[in-house]
Amino acid sequence: MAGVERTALSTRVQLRAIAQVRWQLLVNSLRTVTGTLEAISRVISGLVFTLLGFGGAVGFAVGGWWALGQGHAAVLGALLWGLFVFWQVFPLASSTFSEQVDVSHLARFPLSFRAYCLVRVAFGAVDVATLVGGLCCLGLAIGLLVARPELAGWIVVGVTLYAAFNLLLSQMIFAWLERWLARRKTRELLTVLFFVVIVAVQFIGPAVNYMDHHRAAASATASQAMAWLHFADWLPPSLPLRALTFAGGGAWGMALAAVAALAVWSVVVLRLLNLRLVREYRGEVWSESAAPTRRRKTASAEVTARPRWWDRLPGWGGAAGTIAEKELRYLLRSPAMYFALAMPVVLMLILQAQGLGGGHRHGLALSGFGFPVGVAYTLLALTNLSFNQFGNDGVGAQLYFVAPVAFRTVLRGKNLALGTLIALEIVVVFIAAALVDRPPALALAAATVVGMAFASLCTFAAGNMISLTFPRKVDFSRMGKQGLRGVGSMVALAVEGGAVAIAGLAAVAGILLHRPWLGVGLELVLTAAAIVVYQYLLGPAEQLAGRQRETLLAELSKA
Amino acid sequence: MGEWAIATQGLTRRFEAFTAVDEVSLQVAPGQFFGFLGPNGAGKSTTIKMLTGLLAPTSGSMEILGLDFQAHPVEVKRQIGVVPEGMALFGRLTGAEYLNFVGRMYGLDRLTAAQRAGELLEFMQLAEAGRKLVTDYSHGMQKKLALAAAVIHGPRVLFLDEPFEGVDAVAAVTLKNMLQNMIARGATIFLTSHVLEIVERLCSHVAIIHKGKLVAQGSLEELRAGVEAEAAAGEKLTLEQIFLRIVGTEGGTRPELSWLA
Repeated sequence: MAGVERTALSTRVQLRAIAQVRWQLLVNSLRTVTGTLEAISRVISGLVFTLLGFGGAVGFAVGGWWALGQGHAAVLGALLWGLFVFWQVFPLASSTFSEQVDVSHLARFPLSFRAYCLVRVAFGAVDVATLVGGLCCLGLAIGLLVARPELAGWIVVGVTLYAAFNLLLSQMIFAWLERWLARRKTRELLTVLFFVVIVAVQFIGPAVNYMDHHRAAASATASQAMAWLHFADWLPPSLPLRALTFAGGGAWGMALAAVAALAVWSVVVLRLLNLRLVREYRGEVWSESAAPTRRRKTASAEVTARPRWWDRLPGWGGAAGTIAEKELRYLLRSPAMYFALAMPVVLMLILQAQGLGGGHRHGLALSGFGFPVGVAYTLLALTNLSFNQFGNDGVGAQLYFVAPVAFRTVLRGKNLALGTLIALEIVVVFIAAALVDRPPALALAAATVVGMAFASLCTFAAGNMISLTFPRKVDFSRMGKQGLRGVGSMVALAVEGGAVAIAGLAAVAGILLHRPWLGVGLELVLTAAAIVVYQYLLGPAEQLAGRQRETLLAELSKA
Repeated sequence: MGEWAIATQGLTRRFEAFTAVDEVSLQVAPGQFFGFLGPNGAGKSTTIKMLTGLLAPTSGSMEILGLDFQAHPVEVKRQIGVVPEGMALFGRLTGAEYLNFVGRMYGLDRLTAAQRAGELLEFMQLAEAGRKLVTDYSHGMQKKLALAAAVIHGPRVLFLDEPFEGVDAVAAVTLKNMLQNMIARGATIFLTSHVLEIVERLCSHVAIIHKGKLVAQGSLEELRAGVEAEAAAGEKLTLEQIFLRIVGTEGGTRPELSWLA
């Protein structure tokens, strides 16, 4: 360090350098067509969410003004809790729209801890939830100030603390989640836990319905809920309301206690975030190579030497079958895949339990439509994978270019794996529908299966092109890097929606003409056309692979 | 281009205005252990990527075992094995599953692929890894697995990009023996490495690329003779000295970094 002036390490200089390098990265990303399209999609989604944020701000301003002015505390409470849930849950569910900037590599520079924290929180704050949440808080504060200007001090302090708490909490959750996601074992455990929670949440509606029918049980549960609600008064989303209520009633001490409680919650969250940041700053690296595995000598090579029955299935004998087998191994090693496979059945159970339909007092139930509903969900859950087929392969994708295999075979193998999974899932959904609901009418079942075949072929054909044009490396250890995003996700959505709409129109035409088999016939014609288009597009896709291989491999080789 | 194992003619690769590989014409005879050297950014990896199908050349031609690469890519790829820069591994497979997959991608039947995978895992001392996924392997283990995958189909030409990087000394000896045995059986090996001692010990022929251009090519003796003519009489030059004389001293003595402690 001889000759280095201490001033050269000033935080301001470093922060300016980081901001400059981020800007330079953005500018450099515009050099490629893909980068430009990604930037355009970000601008579009940014504008959409900014508009949403302004809409929310207006809504919160009006809601806050009305609730405080008219003394509807429950409404204000609902606004605060609603925004809190959105702020914390949306980032976890919106990896398609937002990407967290990884700043952990900055730890190798002589950056002060304060500067590191500042950069970490600042970059973490550049996301949709913070944008929308911040604007809503601003709107809420304005509405409250207009309604009760005499409470200005309490409103400003309460809403500011509430916003800061939400920002810190979302950062803290991300920091800890990434710590757990960094190791495969804990990641898998967390994924399972996350899915169990998601599934459990789905049963709240049916549970409420059940309570509605069983008054005694409902009464006991309601009193428990009330007790919990009392406790919830001192949870952060309720505290701004309590501060304003007490301040409005002249109970300054209690109002101060509510604000102090919110400050304490924020400090607790900050401490938990700090705990992670300190370790990150000290260079903690959670590498997958550190994951312990049992040392167990196996004869796995010999086991796989046995001839497999599926080698004799059409399309499974050659290289495409080899690739399909590898793909299935890969897919089925992901807990998320089991969730995707289970969800259509769970959805049917939920819909049936909700008793939305005919025969039941409240509703329709599935009324013989369980099978198409389950299959439609399967389409959403599984075909999405075909739009980023190389994301999981990482650098392994190099093998597809050095192996003596035409690239169309690679694509066919990947499509074959997903097609097989979809076919198996359709069988499972059919059995589940027959048990949970009732077996579908033959024409309906045929229309659903053929429609699904058409939609799958369309998504495979488009997915092959999208996978090569907008590749995206999947990194299960980073939040927001676990799937397709940007232009690719928009096109995927459009193709899936379009394919379902076309197949649906054919089926509906048959129903309207009281000739359901006509709809099936139309779908068969569409499917035959889709097969021809799919086969034809394998040629251009192979050429595209040749042109795109550098972009593809560069993206998949990213550290 | 005749009976060469590897032959390129005017091979060029441009990235917009930058020419990474410029009119490279090289020949490697069958059975040669060929070292491809050059400073960082000279164009070694770009050349090896073009020779293995990972990158399209801007112009020029390539023949492997007498077959035009661009006209017969699949036939050429069947004859070659590669350890590319990124190793091309699939992290969520076990070592055995990966080798089976690669073997079958190169056209081996399931039984042969499995037998060879088992033998290679034993040879590379990876059999004990058992059910461990490749992503959980150390860097050295991954390198050994990538080498095993490159040879599972018995290639006649093997391309290795920095094969000994991250491999421990014991494993390196094993690998060197394996490669020399392949040479003895008539295979051709095209290797890039920054460790000139390894190249000097293993390779019979060497080419040096500098700023995208091929600046020297021939047997070690031929290169030594060429450079020694300019050196002091009787001086026996090492490959490192030859390399430095060809590419390393350009631009004269580098200025000293006086501020560096």
